[in-house]
Amino acid sequence: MQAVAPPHSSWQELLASPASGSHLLQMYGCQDFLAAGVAHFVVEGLRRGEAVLLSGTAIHLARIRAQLSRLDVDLDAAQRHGLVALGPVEEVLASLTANGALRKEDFSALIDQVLQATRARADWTGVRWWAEFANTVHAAGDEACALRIEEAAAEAADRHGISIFCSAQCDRFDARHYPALERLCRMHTHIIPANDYAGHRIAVNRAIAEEIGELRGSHLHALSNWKGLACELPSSQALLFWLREAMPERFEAVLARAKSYVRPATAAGA
Amino acid sequence: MPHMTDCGLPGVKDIPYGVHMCNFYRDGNELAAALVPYFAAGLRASERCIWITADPLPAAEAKARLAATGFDVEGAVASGALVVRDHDDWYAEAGALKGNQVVDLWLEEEQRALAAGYAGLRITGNVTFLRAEEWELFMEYESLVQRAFHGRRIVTLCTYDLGRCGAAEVLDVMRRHSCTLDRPDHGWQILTPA
Repeated sequence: MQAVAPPHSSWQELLASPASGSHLLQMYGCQDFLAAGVAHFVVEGLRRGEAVLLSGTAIHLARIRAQLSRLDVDLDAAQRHGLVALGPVEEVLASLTANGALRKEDFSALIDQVLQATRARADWTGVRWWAEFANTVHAAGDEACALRIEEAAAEAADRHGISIFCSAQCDRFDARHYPALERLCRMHTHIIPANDYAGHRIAVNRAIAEEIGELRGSHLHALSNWKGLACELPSSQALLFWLREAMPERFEAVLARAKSYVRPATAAGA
Repeated sequence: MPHMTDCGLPGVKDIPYGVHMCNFYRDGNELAAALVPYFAAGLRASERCIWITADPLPAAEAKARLAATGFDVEGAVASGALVVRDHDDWYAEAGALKGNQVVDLWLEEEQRALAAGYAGLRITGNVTFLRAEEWELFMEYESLVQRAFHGRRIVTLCTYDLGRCGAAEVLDVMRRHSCTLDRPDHGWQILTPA
């Protein structure tokens, strides 16, 4: 079990002040959670005097604007004070793939160019960027391209000392999603697996207790020997990744039970 | 001064000062099986031993169990080498402190022990008193301890009731300790992270 910095107790705490160079991933199943997460990221960034960049699909940007309005955020004022919606990712992706497959170097150059322009506008206390380029190409069936984008984003977050927040639509209780989820998590520094951390913990604990039993002896040894994913994520989600590796024959049964125990409001992966 | 000391548990060899260990137990007998040899070794090694007790092994029973191994427990208590206090009693003094203040309190205890000629400080805390809503805060305290005790002449064993820990709590605890002491069928083992 790799020593990883202790997880934050909630996604709100994590998104309020992400560390410089962090590359965050939100696993979402419903649009409300996506919008709530991004809106919180925006509000906290503006409150801290940071430039906030948004790169989403047209539909998601509209949802995020609506969520910000519900939070009484004055969007016009916000745009004068650093909030920049960079336009629908579909258009940006179309321009980057006009001559064939998206190249990582081109995507990195785009990030550098946007950040240079952003920093030239004002003396921000920091820069934070929410983007769903990878989610968009992944949803279109191109996982390899999504991973190239995530790799470029991780490098850019580190190179520029900014925080980049990504959202990925998935069902965290569907075993078929886990190979891709694991690859995705390994490219991020922090993972937000659920809206309701406490509910997720209770559901996973109950499922493991019923399917596996208590963690002692050989189970404890296996958990101690697990190398982990080298990213910060709540223990309840870390356990699911561990189970997939350590007890693949029980993994789907645990997921199914956990899904059935998740509180109704969060059952859709919110 | 040596950097290693005897853990005391059969099958577990020397441990380094600064180690912050955890153990999960099922009942009072399992808890005593870990803590009695742990403190017996500390007393043999001339360490100052502070045992903060709680159910299912309160102070009076903890002393009786240690005395049953042949130690002069009352003599050790009288000399100051051994302190055995119930959590309620200790908490009345330290309970209002924040996590970093409790850590400072332990570091001061270490300095006092060294100044008094002890080889180091050996402590334990059993946290059955924790309420569910206090868990996150207590895990923050464990993280502070893990960072602050590294390289100090303090040996720590934190014990957790397995009946009150789900799998996620077990992992929370393991992530915040240097190693886990476990007693499967073939004797004590020390589990270190990969």
